[in-house]
Amino acid sequence: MIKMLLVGELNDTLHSLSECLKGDFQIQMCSQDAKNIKDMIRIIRPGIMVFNIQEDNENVHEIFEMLRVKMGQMPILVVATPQMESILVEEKKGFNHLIILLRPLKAQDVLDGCYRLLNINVGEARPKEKKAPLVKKKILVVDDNALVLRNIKSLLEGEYEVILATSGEKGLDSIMTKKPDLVLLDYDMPGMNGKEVFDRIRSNESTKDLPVVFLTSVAEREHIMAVLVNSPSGYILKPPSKDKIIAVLKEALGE
Amino acid sequence: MKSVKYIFLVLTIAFFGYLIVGQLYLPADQLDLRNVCFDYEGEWFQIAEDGSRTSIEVPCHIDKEIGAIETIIPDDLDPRISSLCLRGQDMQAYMDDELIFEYSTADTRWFGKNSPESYLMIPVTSKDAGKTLRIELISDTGILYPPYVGSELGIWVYILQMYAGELVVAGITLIVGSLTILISKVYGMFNKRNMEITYLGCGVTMAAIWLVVNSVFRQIIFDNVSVANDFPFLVVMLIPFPFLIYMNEVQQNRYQKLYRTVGWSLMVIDITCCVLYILGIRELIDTFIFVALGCFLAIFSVMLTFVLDMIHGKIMEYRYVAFGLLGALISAIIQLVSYFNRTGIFSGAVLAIGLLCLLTGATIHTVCTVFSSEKDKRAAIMANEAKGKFLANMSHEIRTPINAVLGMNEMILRESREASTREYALDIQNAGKSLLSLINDILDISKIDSGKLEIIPVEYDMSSAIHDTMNMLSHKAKTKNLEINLVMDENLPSRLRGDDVRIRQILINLLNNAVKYTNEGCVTLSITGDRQGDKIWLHFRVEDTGIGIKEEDLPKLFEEFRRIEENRNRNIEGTGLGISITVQLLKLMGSHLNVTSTYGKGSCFFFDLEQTVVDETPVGNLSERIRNMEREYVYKVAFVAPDVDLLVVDDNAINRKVLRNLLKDTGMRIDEADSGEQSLEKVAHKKYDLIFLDHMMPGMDGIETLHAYKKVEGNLNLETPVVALTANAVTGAKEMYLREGFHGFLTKPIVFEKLEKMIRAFIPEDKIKDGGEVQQQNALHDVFHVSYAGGDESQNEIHRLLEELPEINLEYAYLHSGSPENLYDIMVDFIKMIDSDGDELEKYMTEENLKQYRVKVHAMKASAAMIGAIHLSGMARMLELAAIHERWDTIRSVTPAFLEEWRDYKNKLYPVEAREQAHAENTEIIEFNQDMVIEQLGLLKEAMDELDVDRADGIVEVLKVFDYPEEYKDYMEEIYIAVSNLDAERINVVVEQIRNIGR
Repeated sequence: MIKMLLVGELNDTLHSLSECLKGDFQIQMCSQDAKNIKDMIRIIRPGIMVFNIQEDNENVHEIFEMLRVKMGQMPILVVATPQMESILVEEKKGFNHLIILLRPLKAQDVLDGCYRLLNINVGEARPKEKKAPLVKKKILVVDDNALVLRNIKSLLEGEYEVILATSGEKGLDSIMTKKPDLVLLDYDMPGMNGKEVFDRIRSNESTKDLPVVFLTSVAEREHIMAVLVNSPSGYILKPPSKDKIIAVLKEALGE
Repeated sequence: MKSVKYIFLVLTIAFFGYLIVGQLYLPADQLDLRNVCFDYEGEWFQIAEDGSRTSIEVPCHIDKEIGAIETIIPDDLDPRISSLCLRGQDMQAYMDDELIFEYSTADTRWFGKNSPESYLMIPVTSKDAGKTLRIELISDTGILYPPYVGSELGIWVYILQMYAGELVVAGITLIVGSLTILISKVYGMFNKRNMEITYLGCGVTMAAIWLVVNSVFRQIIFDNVSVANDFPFLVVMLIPFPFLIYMNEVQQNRYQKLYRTVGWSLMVIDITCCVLYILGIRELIDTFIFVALGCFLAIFSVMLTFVLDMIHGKIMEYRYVAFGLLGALISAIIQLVSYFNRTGIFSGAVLAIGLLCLLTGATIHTVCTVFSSEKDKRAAIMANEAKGKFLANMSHEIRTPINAVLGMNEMILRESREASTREYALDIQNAGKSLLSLINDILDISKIDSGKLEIIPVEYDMSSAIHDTMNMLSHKAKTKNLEINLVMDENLPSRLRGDDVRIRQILINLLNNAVKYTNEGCVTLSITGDRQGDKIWLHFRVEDTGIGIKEEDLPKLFEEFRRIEENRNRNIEGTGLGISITVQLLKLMGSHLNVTSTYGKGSCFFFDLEQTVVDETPVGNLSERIRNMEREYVYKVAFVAPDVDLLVVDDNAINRKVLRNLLKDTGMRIDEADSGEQSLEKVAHKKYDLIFLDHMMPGMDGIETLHAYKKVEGNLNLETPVVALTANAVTGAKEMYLREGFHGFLTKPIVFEKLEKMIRAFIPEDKIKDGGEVQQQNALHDVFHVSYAGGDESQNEIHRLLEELPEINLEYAYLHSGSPENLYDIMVDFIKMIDSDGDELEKYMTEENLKQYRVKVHAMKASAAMIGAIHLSGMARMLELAAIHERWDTIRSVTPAFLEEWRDYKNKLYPVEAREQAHAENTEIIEFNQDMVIEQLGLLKEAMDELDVDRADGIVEVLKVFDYPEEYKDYMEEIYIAVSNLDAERINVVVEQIRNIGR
């Protein structure tokens, strides 16, 4: 994944932009401050920069000055209001790969702009764009062990969008807010345990059909039987192998 | 040529026609017409004791009691007649009471009362007409054959003509019989087969001899007719034996007992007859009836077996022989009938034809058997080849994954701290190793079968060969509580020439077997020698006090895949190939394995080997040394030695790193020096417990360095043991290093087990603590690891990265690096060395600096092996060998290709380099930017609230770069750990605390 530096006022606009782009880029955000941007570029060496300019910003010139000196070759996408156009056309001088998009626009426009920019530099990016935007299924992993969460995330990342929750309570919240397609649930957790979470999911009208797969190191018969009463979609013992877990998930998701 | 052919044909017909027509139509005009022979036509009378005469017809049977016969010579005798021929024994002939002829061999024979039957020529002429010829028969066979009159020569010609048929047949039989013996013997000799037809040939030849000797011709052939007369009787005694033996072989010992009984009976009869004859009690002819009965018994028994075989349907196996025998039987019956009819003189012609018939049948049988067995043999050879090929392929196919299993298991053993896991892994290791040795056995046997295994004689060191062998077995014996002893002649020469690898294999096989099959007591290897010029015969003996082998099982011992008493020894593992391999190896070395064994008491295997002596220095008391070594050898799994200082001297950074990594967990303090020169300073400044010194170094090599230590002023390490590191694992290397003053040596790539052993051998025991503490320490280590989970993430990433590298054998690399991280680090260093090493090697090649070239390419070989670039390492090894043998043409032609390959690894390892670069830049420390840190912490908090791990990790990567003021440092560490642990609450708390500092 190409690294992207996303610069702008750290507000909701920027966050929603980040949300749209994060499937395609590894995003790092930064406020619009010349020094911060300079440091960030030094640290992460982004492949592309998206600059969301607020109208009232006074540092714009300073930032462009810095970029012109340091990063004249970097692909830069500038998003601005139509009022800024004249200033920006002036600033554009000295940049080889700079595109200006004017509001109002859709998130998809920004994404297209980024690819347009990158095509100039990186030919390989083209096919990526052509691929039909793959809607990955969302998997929520609930486990109190960070190691397990990270491990499962890295195992599943390619196939699914993975969201995490470190406790049963948080898991239930995430089910409501993020609407996952499947829940991978640990059994033994502090606070609410897996069975309780499971029962809650089943008892709620909106989530009663949500596939739940247990991923646990508990192999005692009684626990398994207790869980099986409510017929979960799967029961995997830790540590899982990638093939196994994906096979179970595919089945549970009816793929 | 056509005309010539016609002329030839016409002439042939003309000439032969002339002969035939002339003989038929022209009168007889031969010159010597005096040679005549007629039937004697005079009348014969029998004279009883009382003088009364009765007329008799000849031929006839005459009473034994009669004293004489008489005849009156007729008047019309042809004037050419000179003799009357009578066949008979001792006699006197009187012509009108005048003794004219007497026949007796009483003075010219040893045994018997009578003279042999002969054709006797009694002088009778036409002048004797009207006289009375009286013949006193002193003894007779009882038949009066028709007498002839004529000239002596004429009578002989007549007799010869009469018996010509018999003579010809007997001659043919004799020739065929002896040819059969000759051909079958020669064929049998070349094909290493026992040809049963030889016996039949013997029988037939004897029968032919009997025919000849028993005929009228003995009188012409032999000087002493008395002996010649006895001989046919004796031959008849012999004749049944070869036939019986032949039939027994044809019938595959089915009727062995029957034939044996018949044989013994015949023997008794024969000997009795002979004894009676010699003592003068009975004539051979008188007892001949018993011999004949014996022969009939033999014939009868053969017929009986025919019937039995016919019932069992086995007669078809030798149908030709059966037909032949039938023919022989019929001819024998005809012969007998004609004999008992007493119409003519006994003739063997028909019998001989019968025998030829039998021989023909037998020959057909034998030819058929030989053909079919040749076919079987070819099929068997092909099947065996196919088996060998299959075994070799299978073994190879199995060996590859086993090596992988063992390799990965080694990783588990090295990395796992959990006692139970280690135990399982040790079990896997044991099982895997025994599986591997089993497969190696199978490979060996298939190599031997296909003749691919060769004995390669090299110079070797006797003591190290025996030492290593004993060493391998001592641990195994120890676990079974067995004593293992070596009794070795101290005066054996120390260096010999032979295939020591195979000798070791043989000894290990035998000792292994001895240990396997012994439950208590001891196993002893004894070696003595006999000098013969520059050669020596070594006598090896492996004795045990084990379960022993039953005598009837001994032959089975040498069969492939055969294990004796399977039931009793079920719990003993092995292919059963060990002894078979040993036997075949010894055969290849021109020796053989002997074994003596007492069931329940133990066995002794021994063999002799001839070896060439290279160095006569006596080996000395090796057994004592081995005993000492064993006492010191205590097996422990792991250890820590925090108070130990080590010095590693090696020009190759990767080698140093490997050693350091291998010893990481022991807590030893390790100093490094990259050259001999540099190490000289180190030894003057610090006292070390052990020094590892590489042999092959540019500049001062290991041996020079070791000698230089002695001269260093203020050297604190004069007493410190020094261990040589070398990639030269050739035989004799060890002795060389010990001679130079090293305390031990390790081969590269370094295997942890051996390294550990070396350290245990040289570092005082009180400085080494055993594995228990290690495990506790590592338990803490695990906790730490869990709390710092970021490590595992990068480990996964590294592993994935390594797996994608082309042409890298990871199993191999992990064996020597221990873990992906180590391997990764090693690769990073390797990449840095690619250019400089390559350039240097190129330079040495163009400068033709052989010594430096060799040292360099040697180092490159090791480096390549360490990162698992086996192919590259192999090329380097080839070049190193070329350098050792100063083959410049090879060096010049291969080096460019090698360098191209070598430099190409920069591309091949690019993923490693790229990652490293990214890391290096990321970890570049930049000036603290408070605004930005606070800003990023805010973002981190948001990311953590949503548990957006990717974003959080990305922000941590950014945060890690700053050079934090002291007051931030602890908080930041806490942040990193909290992110690793996905602990959002903690982040909230800590971020708040950091913000407070800012204010």
